[in-house]
Amino acid sequence: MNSVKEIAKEVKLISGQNVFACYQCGRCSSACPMTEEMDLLPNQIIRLVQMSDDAVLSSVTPWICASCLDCTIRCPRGIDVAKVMEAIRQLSIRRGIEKREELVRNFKEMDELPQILLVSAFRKYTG
Amino acid sequence: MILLGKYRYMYYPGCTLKGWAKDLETSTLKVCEILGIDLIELDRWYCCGGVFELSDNLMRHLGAVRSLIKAEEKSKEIGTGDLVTICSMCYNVLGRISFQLKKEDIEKINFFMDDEKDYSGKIRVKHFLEVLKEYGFNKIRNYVDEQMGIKVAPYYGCTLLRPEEIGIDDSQKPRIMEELLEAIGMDPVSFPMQTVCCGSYNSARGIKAVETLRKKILESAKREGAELIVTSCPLCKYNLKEAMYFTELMEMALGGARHG
Repeated sequence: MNSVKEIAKEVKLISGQNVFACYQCGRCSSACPMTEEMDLLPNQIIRLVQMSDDAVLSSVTPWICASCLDCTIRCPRGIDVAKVMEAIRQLSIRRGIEKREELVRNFKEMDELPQILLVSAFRKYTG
Repeated sequence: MILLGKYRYMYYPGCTLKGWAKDLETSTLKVCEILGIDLIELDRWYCCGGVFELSDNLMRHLGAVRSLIKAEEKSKEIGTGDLVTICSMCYNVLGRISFQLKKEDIEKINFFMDDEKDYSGKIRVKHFLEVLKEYGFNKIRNYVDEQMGIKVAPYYGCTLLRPEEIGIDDSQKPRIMEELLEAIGMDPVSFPMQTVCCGSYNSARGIKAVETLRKKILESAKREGAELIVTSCPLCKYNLKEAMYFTELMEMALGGARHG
């Protein structure tokens, strides 16, 4: 496919964010509370998007991001990193590269889970 | 016609307060009864969606906008445009719709939503903590008989504070819960990780996904001497396991049982 040259542009169109403003200071990754669960750090994701590298679409990182915005409020270049993550999730779904089934467990104790958990996970994992 | 007092608000409970987090609703209503605050539940409301859609898909906002339309209808009846939520995530989603969504986005949503009136943007979304602050922490002090002095760590998490445009307090150094706790006779303990996200819906992948984070947050509070952690978010409570709702603590401090 034509993904190599398009990813940066598509991410920009979906998220409205200019990833080329990033100079790799790493504040997003230092603020992120979920990095231990990620395969790529948030600043690495931004770098790969700059290079339109396919690897972002198969990374688990955008699916771990819960949009807590700790990165967003800290970025000295004004990039809403969480928006970029969401754009990557949408791109992965649109291109059929999905991480969702690997992510969601078999809900055994469905009755005991807060509704808010199910609703949020359902919405984030479907786009 | 309902007879209402000086402190009256429309109330949006959200799905979890009618289910898993029933205690959060019950304790809040009890606190309101004691303080003389009227929370009038909307006649109809829809799930806020839990999370705010960040990218270009406006369709994802429809549920939340519908609730705001219902609130606009209700506001005529009770004479206030203030809509109160207790759940932090509901606050975040509805707040962002009402304060952050661009005018042209709202117009587009109105255009495509045939079965409802248009949303005109007149609703002010407030969190219950803001309502209590407006009421006056000093006034709340009068309802407290005993200084319990429990060392309580307020955990804010992410959705009450970020994005900053809708945050109820400073995004990195909030004080509102500390002020409230002090007013109800507690000994508030701020701690470094009180504004860090609990991992949110990552626990859908199994509670282990947020295990490391939970331990870090709890240890951070304990290191500052906390005996108890309070939150206003059901998902934070689920993920942290060892937390109670600030409203439950308030009910206790204000003598909820004695007031019937």
